[in-house]
Amino acid sequence: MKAFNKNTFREISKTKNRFFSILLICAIGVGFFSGVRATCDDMKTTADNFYDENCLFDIRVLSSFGLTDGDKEALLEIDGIDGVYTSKYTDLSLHNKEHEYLTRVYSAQNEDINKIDMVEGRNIENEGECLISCNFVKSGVAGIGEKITLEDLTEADEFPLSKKEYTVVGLYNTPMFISITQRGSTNIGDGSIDAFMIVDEKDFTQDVYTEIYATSDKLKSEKSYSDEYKSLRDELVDKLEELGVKRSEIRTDEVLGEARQEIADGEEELEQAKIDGEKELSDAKQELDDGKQEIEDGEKELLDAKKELDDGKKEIEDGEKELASAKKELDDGKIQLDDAQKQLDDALKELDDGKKQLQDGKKVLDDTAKQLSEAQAQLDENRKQLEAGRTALEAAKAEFNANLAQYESAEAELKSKEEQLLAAEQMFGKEAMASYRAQFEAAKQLLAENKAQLDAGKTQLDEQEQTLVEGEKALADGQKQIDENRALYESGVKEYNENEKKLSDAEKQYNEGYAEFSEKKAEYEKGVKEYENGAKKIADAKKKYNDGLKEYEDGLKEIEDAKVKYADGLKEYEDGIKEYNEKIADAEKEIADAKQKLADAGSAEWYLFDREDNVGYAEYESNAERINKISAIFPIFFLLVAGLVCLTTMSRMVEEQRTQIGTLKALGYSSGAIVRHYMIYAVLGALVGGIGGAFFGCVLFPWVIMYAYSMMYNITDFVFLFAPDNIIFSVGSMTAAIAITVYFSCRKALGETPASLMRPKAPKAGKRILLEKIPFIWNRMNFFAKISGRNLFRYKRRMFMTVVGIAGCTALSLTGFGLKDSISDIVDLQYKSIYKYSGYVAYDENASDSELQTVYDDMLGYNPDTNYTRALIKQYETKFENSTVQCYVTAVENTQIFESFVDIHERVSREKVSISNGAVITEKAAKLLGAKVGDEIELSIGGGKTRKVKISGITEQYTSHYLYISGSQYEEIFGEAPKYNIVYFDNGITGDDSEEINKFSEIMLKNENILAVMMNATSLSSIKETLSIMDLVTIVLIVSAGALALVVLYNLSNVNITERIREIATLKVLGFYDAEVSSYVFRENIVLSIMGGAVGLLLGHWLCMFVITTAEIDEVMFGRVIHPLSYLWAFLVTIGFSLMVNLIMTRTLKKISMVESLKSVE
Amino acid sequence: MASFVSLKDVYKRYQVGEVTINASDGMTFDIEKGELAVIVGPSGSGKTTVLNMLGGMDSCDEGIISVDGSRISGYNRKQLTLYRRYEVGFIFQFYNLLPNLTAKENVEIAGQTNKDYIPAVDILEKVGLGERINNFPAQLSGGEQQRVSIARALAKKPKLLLCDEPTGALDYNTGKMILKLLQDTCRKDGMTVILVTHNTAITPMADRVIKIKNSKVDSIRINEKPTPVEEIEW
Repeated sequence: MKAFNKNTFREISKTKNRFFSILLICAIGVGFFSGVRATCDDMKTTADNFYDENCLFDIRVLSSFGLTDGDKEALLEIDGIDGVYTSKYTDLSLHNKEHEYLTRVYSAQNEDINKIDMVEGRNIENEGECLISCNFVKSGVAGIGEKITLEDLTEADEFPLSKKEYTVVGLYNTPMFISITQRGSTNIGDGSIDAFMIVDEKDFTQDVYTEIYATSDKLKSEKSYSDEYKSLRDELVDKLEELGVKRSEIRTDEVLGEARQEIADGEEELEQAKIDGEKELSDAKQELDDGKQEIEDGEKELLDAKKELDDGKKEIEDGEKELASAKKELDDGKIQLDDAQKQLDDALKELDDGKKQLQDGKKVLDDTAKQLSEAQAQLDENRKQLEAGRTALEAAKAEFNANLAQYESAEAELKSKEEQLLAAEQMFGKEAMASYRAQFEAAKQLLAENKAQLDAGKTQLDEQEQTLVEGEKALADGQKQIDENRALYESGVKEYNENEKKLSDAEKQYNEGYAEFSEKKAEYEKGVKEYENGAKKIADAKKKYNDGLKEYEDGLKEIEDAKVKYADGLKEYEDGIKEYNEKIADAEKEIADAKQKLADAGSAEWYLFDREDNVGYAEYESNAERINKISAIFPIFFLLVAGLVCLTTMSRMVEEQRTQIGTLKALGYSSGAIVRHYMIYAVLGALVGGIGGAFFGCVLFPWVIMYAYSMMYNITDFVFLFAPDNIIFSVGSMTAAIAITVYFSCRKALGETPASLMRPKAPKAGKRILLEKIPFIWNRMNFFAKISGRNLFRYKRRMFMTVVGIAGCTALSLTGFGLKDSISDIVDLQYKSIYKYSGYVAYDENASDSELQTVYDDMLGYNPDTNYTRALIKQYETKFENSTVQCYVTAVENTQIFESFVDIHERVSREKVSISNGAVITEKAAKLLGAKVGDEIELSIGGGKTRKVKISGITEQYTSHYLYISGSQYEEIFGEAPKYNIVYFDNGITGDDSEEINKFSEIMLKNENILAVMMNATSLSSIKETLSIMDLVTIVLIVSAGALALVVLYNLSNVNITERIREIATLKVLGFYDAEVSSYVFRENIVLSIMGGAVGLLLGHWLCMFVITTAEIDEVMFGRVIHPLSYLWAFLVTIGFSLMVNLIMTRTLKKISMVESLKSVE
Repeated sequence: MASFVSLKDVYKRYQVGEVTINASDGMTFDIEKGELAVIVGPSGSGKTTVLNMLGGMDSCDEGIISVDGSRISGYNRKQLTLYRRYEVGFIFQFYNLLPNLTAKENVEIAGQTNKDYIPAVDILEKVGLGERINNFPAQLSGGEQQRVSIARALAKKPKLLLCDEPTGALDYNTGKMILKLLQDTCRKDGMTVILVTHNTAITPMADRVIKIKNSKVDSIRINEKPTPVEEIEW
């Protein structure tokens, strides 16, 4: 048997790779499984240690009437209560430089309970020193050595502390509030406590204790969040409740007895005061009435005088009026006279002008007549000369005609003589006749000369004739002109005569007008004289009147003085009445108030709180439980994949060693022994890997998660439990799973005979695949694609496992990326899509309207376009059925503006919801409460009065819980007008522009009514920072996913290669290049990776949604959307890991020796 | 002129633990082109090592191996791959067909690597499997599988055909048919065939018989008149 075992161990060292891969996958599987499972308990234990170490109280007692030493002692007597500690606290506003913070001030803390953890500085030693909680310092507001001032925000008369100024000497953490973000609520300011402070107990002015903390040793020994703790605590609480009833009665009598006596005394005093006051008042009234009568008499006298004066005055006025009209008449007459005088002067002047014109005309006419007669004379002369010329011409004509007749007869004679001569010459010849001829020629010459003389005479006659005619014509023209001028002259004379007549008429008229004018003038002068007499009479009357008036006014003044005196007296009297009434009313009210208070106070009542009522305590538990829920699904996934991978690996191993199994069988070893060989091999791997992984996982995962939560809770000193049951369970289940897979792997082989086992197992036969029946696709595939296709379906189990493994990897990566998306989304969604305003300022809720106006003015001073509305924000406990949620009730003054600041809508349908229609609650709060639209939820503060609100809408919101209502609805619900304490505004600052933000804040904080300025841009970046812790979780997920993918693929590829080593070697012998050989194998891997990736994306979407809904914390709602890019990334990560494995396997492929692999099986 | 295949003082050593085993202890022999050579020797005598070195699947530690004038003993990994790809055909005792490929595809996969190759259907017809080209190896008998294997080796027109106990897993008659096919290939196509066997009975069919013993060449005998396979009995 020894050799057989040796064989097993040698096997391990021989197949290190395989063994190691089993070990590793088991380590990862178990590590994740146990680690995540351990986290919940580790978290709770870490918290429990923290509580125990800091002696966190178990039960806290409050009473409506305060608590006394008697209460303390009574508590100690209860069985199960081992420590009782008293404490006082008050909620104040802390001033530091420019900020104000709501601070809960505690009396000095006891060493034995709620032990504070001094982070820096020292404890209180001197007067006026204080400690301050660390979280406050973290915000960088106060440090050691700084002075702070406290202020009371309530309207109480008395400041609850004896000092108002303190110096910070130390910083501390308190176990009471482990949550960094939530510090409980108060009923002052915005209701949310910002910081804690500790001062000396002596500084408190109140005598009674505010609260008593109790501890129990029995409870301390139990784990804080365990069921045992809870049931023990409940028992104790029941006992204390009984005690509370008894103690309350005692306390009620103590406090109220005193008060009742005080009220009775007060009532008696009031009655006496009433009687005294009323008498005093009636005396004063009598005196006043007398004075009044006197004044009235005087007034009557004056009234008569006044009437007389008025009559006189009227008379004077009438006279004056008459005079004035007379004067007016006179003035009119004067004006008329002046006009007439002027008219007369004008007429005279006109008359003179006319005369002168007339004389000028006459002169012109005379000149003209003279000229005319001269012209006639000359004309007559000319006519006479012309007639003499005519006569001479006639005589010359007659002479010429005689001469012409003489010439003509001489010519005729000459002519006949010529004929005779001619005939003679013919007969006698010329010579003979020459002398005759000469004679004849001389005669002829003489005649021609006569003729010329005649012609000249004729021309001369014609010329004379012509001149004569022209002269006659000129004469006629001259005569005509003269005739025209004469006609003109005659009409001029006629006109002149007419004008002369007109002028004499005008002169006559003028003389008549002038006479009339003189008459009127005399009349006017008489009127003037009359008027002057009247005026004098009036002036005398006026003087008389004025004297009377003065006398009257003096009298009047006297009366006025008397009246003022009387009014003063009256006012004094009325004030007296008022004062009396007020005083009486005040006193009555005081008494009534006191009575009411007494009634309100009812009786003392104890309030018992346990740790669950502490904000962070309960939340921490639910966070731990949430991780537990995740651990139920996530790790099982890992375990499953690990099991599958081991199954593949082991069955391959068994197959590889068929021959050995056959040999062993043949040698007579029992099946059991052979199975044990493989069992030992696999179980050893599972155990070593599992235990290693468990220890590693139990540190890594709790650490990462607790580290992430440590940014929200003050809990440090992480505890790692290594709970044996967890480790045994996870390692055990893994080992069992592996053992089962080994058994199934062996069973088949062991069923065969040794002989068949020793024969090499025929490689899996090839088969045609479905795809080949679709020639359309098959024929298009290349040769290698066809081979890959067939191979894929040849090893169905491996294909299935690879797909599952890779799908798991993709799903995990997608969950990681999706988680990151949903978390990083919310900030932008919240601060960009939902919150549209720039920020808000908190101001003193008691500020007057004018003080508030300065706040508005400062805002508008920064940006005149600023839009704003007031709101009241206060934290309430909302309750529906059995769930409670801390919720900010926001009452809005102007819902319309507010709805433009905050996009209030239903998330899925994107439908707008309006506050004006009723209360709107944020989505996560509604979900935590389990309330729907139409449900009625309860509101209360610290156990105070409960109010009911009906939900009319649910709005998308990612951080914090709000209940939005309108101011008017607030009034309906709470019965009083909302005391607004913040102003929402939009002044254009949206981005993280620190310069603008600082500028704005500086302006605002100079205003002393402003308590704080919150800019959305600032909140956005700080929340982003806080949420970055989730990056860590994302990285863990992705790295785990990667490790899983790597191991799965490596394993499966390894199996794939060893299974087909002969094929691969054959390809090599055939001379395939390395790349060709690799692609022959890896083509399948890539196809499987893509298939797995696709399946994984579907799976991952579901997984991510599951994780998001379980992992989100109460305060926050994560986004519900995974970005498309994240799907891509998750897919790429998977493919990337797949390629990485391929790369690693390429080297293995290269190393495969052909000779070794193809060796005949011997 | 050197021989077509020539080994000169070839050594091959394996280190197994602290012991060095000489798988080839200075072997020297020549084979001429077109010859059918049989390397014969008992199990573990080193005959397969010689064949592996000739086929480029293994390299020698010392000595010279040359094929067709190329000295393959000095080849690097890449050159050896090319040598296997283009120059030699290999036939194994257990055929080493790819089980997931049909007979035709098994031949094609070898042809795919060469530009100049005989179409799969032609060569399969030649080896007498024209009817079964679409069968998977598991559907074929041993002899048929070995014929596919031969077809695969011949499809790429190798210079050299190396056969490692090709009849080792076959019954007598089938073995004979395979040997006949190999002898015919040598005679008719002028292929140089080297056949490794432990079975001395088949040596008469060879042109040259190289006997190996203890990793050394024991004797080389030339058969002037090789016997046709049909006449050999064992």
